[in-house]
Amino acid sequence: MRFIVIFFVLTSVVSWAQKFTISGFLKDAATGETLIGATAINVKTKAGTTTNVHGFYSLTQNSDSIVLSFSYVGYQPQRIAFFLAYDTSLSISLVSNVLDEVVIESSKADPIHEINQMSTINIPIEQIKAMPAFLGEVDVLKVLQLLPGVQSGNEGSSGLYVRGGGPDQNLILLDGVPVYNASHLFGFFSVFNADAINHVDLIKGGFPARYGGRLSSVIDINMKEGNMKEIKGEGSVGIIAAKATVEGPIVKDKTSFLISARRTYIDLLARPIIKATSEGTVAGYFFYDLNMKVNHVINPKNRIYASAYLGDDKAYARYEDFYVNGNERTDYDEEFGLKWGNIITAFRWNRIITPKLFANLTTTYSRYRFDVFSEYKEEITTATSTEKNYYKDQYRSGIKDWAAKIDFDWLPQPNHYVRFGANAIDHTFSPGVYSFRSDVEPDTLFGTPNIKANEFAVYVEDDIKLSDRLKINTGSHFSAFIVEGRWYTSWQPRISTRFLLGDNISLKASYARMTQFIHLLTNAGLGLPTDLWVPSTSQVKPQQANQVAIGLAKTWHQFEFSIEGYYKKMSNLIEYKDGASYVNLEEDWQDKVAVNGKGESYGAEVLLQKKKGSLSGWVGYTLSWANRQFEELNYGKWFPYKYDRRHDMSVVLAHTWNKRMDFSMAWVFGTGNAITLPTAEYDGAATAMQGNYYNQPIRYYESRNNFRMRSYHRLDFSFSFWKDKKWGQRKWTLGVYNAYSRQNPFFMDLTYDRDRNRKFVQYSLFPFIPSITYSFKF
Amino acid sequence: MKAGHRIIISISLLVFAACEMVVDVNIPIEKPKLVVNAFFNPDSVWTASLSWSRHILDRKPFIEEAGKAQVSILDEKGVLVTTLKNKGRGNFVSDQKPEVGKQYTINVKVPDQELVFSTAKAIGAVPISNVTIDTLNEGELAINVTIKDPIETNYYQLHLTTEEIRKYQRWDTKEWVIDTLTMSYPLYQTTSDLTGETSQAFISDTKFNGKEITIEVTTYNPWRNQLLTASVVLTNASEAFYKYHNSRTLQSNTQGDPFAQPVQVYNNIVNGVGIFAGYADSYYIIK
Repeated sequence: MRFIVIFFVLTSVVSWAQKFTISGFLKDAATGETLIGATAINVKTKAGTTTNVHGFYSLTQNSDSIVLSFSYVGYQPQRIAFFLAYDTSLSISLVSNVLDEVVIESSKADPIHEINQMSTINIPIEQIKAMPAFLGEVDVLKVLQLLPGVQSGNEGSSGLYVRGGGPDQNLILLDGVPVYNASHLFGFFSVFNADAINHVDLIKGGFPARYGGRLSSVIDINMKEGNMKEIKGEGSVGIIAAKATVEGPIVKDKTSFLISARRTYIDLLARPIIKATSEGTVAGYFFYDLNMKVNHVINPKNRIYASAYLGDDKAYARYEDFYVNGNERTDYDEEFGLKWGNIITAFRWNRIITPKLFANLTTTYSRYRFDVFSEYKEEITTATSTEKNYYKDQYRSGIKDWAAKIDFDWLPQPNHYVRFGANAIDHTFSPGVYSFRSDVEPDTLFGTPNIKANEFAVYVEDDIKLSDRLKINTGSHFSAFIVEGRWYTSWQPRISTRFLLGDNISLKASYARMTQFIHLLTNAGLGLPTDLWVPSTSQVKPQQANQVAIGLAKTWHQFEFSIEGYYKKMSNLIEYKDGASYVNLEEDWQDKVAVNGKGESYGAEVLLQKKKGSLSGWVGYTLSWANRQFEELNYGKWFPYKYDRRHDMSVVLAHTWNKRMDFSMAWVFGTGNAITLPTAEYDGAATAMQGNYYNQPIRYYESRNNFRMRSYHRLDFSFSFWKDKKWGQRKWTLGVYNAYSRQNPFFMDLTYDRDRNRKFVQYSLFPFIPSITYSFKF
Repeated sequence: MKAGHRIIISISLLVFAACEMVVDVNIPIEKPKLVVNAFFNPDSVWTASLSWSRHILDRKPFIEEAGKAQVSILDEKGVLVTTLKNKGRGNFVSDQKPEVGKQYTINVKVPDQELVFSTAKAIGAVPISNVTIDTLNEGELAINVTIKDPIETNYYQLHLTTEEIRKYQRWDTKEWVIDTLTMSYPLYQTTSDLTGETSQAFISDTKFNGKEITIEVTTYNPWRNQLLTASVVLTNASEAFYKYHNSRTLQSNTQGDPFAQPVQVYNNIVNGVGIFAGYADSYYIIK
């Protein structure tokens, strides 16, 4: 008996000391969508973790009675109590707490001061969809532009300029696949259809080691996976585009699908009018997006996903006519086409290897290409002969990737969350080829041939809870780039830390080194499709940045407040040389750029956010400087970066009056972008210079970017009216863009008035623009 | 115009045409800058042209320096070499010539102004070894110019200079006149293999430094007119001359292009603007 008692006690002691792992997925109870960044906490020990991008969590605890609390923004928390005696698989479905799409009920489990990661902002997709939208089109990237530290570039552009970085320095991921050109309609819209999106994260600094390849930001966008429970749909018709999303189970709780499509339709409406009024001309412009996804649960430990995105912009015009000259009749047919777009495909396999080890394998194919052509055919007929002529010129450019990556999440114990993995990308760059074909002149082909390159990376990071007050995330990212026999390698250390100063306030700091092996030759933020992605070469080295940041985060009542200061130093930047133009398609891109540039940006960002209640939103302010220096430019002196914007402010509010009506507004202000303007003119060296005759005076530019355009500010608002129907719900949204019709600067130029006096002219784009959108859900 | 130019510019014009507004840009009205333009070569006397810059919104003619400017040339030790005399209309001339290999400073003193100055070296000509000519067609000649490039960094430009008898109509009286004219024709490279450049821009010797090379160029066929003399001229230019010429050509070619980056024309005048640069010509007579 004593022996049995001793054995039991010993067994109990052993059991007491044993640790077991609870793991599983957190999902939306209504749709089966995984919840990313949801929290799972043992209420007794305060040990907790968060779900990864696939909704998986893992928490190792001592064998004991535990109370697990699961929570997520906008959902009712759930608690489960049980005795942990073995590894337990526990997947939870949380019920949405959202009364309508704008009232956000945030849980207390994820306040800003608790979050380890700094310089990171997550905006719920429902809040994004509630924002006033340009021409009624909700745009993810446009909402990100309302955040501190993020600038919009030019009027209407969806390009992002984060902490003094350029638009090529943002890693935009759609389900883990880089998107190379995220613009429709010359940058006025992005390619992301908000109805197909589950989650958006913006990281401006303190980059975890799992991210690499760009200097300034990561925009991590995850698509929805498709409703596992029932068929659901939504759609809308606005003044320029219509869209629809349908999702549902193929096999309930096992396989789901999602299809989401959007297309502008103004060309369809205008085509008959154009044809009727312009003697047979057919012309138009449209863009479309198509997102597709299939999600299949093989078994509790294995899931596979296949997703695809296709999108194009297309402008076209065709004109046929004839003319008669004497006894000669000429029939001609002229056509031009302009097309650019992305294909992004991904196949993923999630596997729970052990309760503590989760793996994700992804293979992807992505392609961006731009194509413009002009074709002319004519047939000249006389009484005795017929002659045919043909001319076609065409320009093509683009980038194509095949990639594979494997990522592991390992949670050996509650104080460590280890991530590690590797990836490989095969790039094919087509920096621009021009061809001319004709049956009367010799064919011409010039430009840069395709360039192949390979990129590899490995990383490891650990989220460590050192004490109740101190957490750090530390890691390393190592990458290599091979192009035309040349190797570039980079070791990039990363560290970020959070120290709780009190119950509701924390101090955060971070350091990150980032390296970028590919560059974007872009115009001045217009988002024109002639943007070119080019690789590092022997002439153009990889860009690099080192960034430090420090900040305070505080939560009190319903408000979250953060203030951050940052300093970023960049090297090996490239910029167009004086006189270089992206319109000049004949010149090799390497000859158009100044290289080995340096950049420096620093500033402070303040964010006050309210995530709860019928009134939610934020106020953001940024004070910043961004400068550049190139030996070949501006006589080697430092000059302000084009998007050096000293003050940037945004006020964003969303208010729900009742279940049927809500209102949102956004007011933005920014001091003017830098621009290079001449200050004087003078007579150049007289007489012909060896055959060159100059009769124009010389314009004198004191320095690059020596002036500032006028300040930019704009007010947008929208009202939404809801009504429940038997089949679902409908919503009318009335919106206004630029409510007080501010003439914001888009471009400036020197020209003449009617009396031939010189004047500076500012061009603006968008005045007061109303919009109306009809949306439905079933 | 290529398809890409046509399409991008036309679409962009539609965008830009949306709304224009005259803005008052606060460009400070600064004192005009003194402009000093002075190219020099060992075969010609010192000359300099002085004028004043004007505010960018000003359309009045440039003001030539007709006041009490003093223009002098100093050697590398600061010793006065010569003083240029004011010949009117902002032109200053000396009776002396620069010497090859020597460094010179031009000083311009104007009352109530800071001293304006610049320093440059006089360089020598690079002889042309040989020239052969082929007729491509009635209107065009191919000219092959052989030179032995010296070891130091050189910048070259080629052109054809002729004396021709030409018949032309006077613009004022509409009278037809026969006259002897000195003409200068730019020479365009046929391939970029040698220098990486195809235009009539300056050629730098990066790819053929210290070697003998043959530059293939084409030009208008001057024998179509009554030709009295013709020479191929090789200009050996200093780096300042090269930078000034290239940047000025670039600014001239891109002015009015809203997509091109503004070009700062090279300027080596301290406390002023303009150019002080040396060059030297060598000639190969072909007729």
